[in-house]
Amino acid sequence: MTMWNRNKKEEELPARPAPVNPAPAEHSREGIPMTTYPTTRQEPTVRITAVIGKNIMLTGNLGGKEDMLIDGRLEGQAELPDNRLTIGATGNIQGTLRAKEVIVYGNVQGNIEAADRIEIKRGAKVIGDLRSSRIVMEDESYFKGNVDTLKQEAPKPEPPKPQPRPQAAPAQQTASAAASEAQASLLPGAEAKR
Amino acid sequence: MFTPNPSSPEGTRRSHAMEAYSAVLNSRTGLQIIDFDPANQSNIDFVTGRGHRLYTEDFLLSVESWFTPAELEARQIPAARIDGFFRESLNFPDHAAGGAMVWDCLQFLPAPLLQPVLDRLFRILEPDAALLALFLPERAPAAASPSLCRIVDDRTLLLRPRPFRRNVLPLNNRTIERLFQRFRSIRFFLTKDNFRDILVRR
Repeated sequence: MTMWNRNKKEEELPARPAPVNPAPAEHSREGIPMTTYPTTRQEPTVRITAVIGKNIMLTGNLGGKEDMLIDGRLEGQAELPDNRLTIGATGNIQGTLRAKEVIVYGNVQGNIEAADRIEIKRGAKVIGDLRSSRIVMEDESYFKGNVDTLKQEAPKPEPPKPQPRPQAAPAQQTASAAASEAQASLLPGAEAKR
Repeated sequence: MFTPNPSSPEGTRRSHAMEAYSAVLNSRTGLQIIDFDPANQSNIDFVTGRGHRLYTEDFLLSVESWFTPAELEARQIPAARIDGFFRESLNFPDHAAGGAMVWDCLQFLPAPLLQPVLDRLFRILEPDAALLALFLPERAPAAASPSLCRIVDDRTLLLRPRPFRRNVLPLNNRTIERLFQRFRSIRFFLTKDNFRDILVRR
């Protein structure tokens, strides 16, 4: 069942227009990774994310095909195989999480599996096993459990393409055909052409 | 905030015990390794990058979270309480782990817990598993700060003091040998500043 809850504050705030000539200070922010924690301001580049607010408590299984931010409490399982799942600072999970990417700012008691990466942020608390291609553990986070890295499968080599037969030029073909005929005429039993 | 910086010489030191331990990790894959320090990127990358699985837990914090202050000060702790602790920490089947890095935690444990923890490690480590431990110099003060131990490379550790102090169990070499008497072998590596790094084989 897909759960979706839009944060009304995001609708009320006007979108900030993109600057035409960015100030030099903004250039200095290039190369610094942007936080993945969604802000309440409507940035032009923000990812559309379903939000479970901090006063929401869910029991059961969550699934879907869009990014999700959980700021509330979940007892159960969340599964977003193609999307990012973020556990906010007030998020509290008792159960397993499975997504393309999982980023934890809050509390998780349960196993986490992500195809691409898992990030345990400073201040987060995770008890359970982690399984992903890439695991990022910030200092001053708390973690207790197993860490398992998934080995990415090497791309299978493509089967060799069948080589086309080389086509000889017409003059050459005539010469070779004549040579073949001449040869054939020398063979015993062959009738000579006149 | 403690941020390990492998390129900085401050706090880094060569460890022959770490070098010997790395040789064991490099010789096999698929081991279950136990780390007694708080989870950190360096140790995760080092162990999992060699094809092993890492169980990591801030062991000293776990001890202080489970046992009451009175129990930690007492001369004896009820066996049932210790068994309960091991259901929460180091909860592995027998012979399930292929290695352990206990760093300097053993010397900062309450005295009644030291032997039970070693007995537990003996049970859960598989035969020939390697255990790496660090001990302060024999003439260590009565209290000191445990270290955060980050693996820089096969032979180098980065040690930073944790922001608290704990009583230090006075353990001379003979006592350490006696603690590990059930294990197959123990090698001492004495550092320039008289720290004692040991590599134990189960």
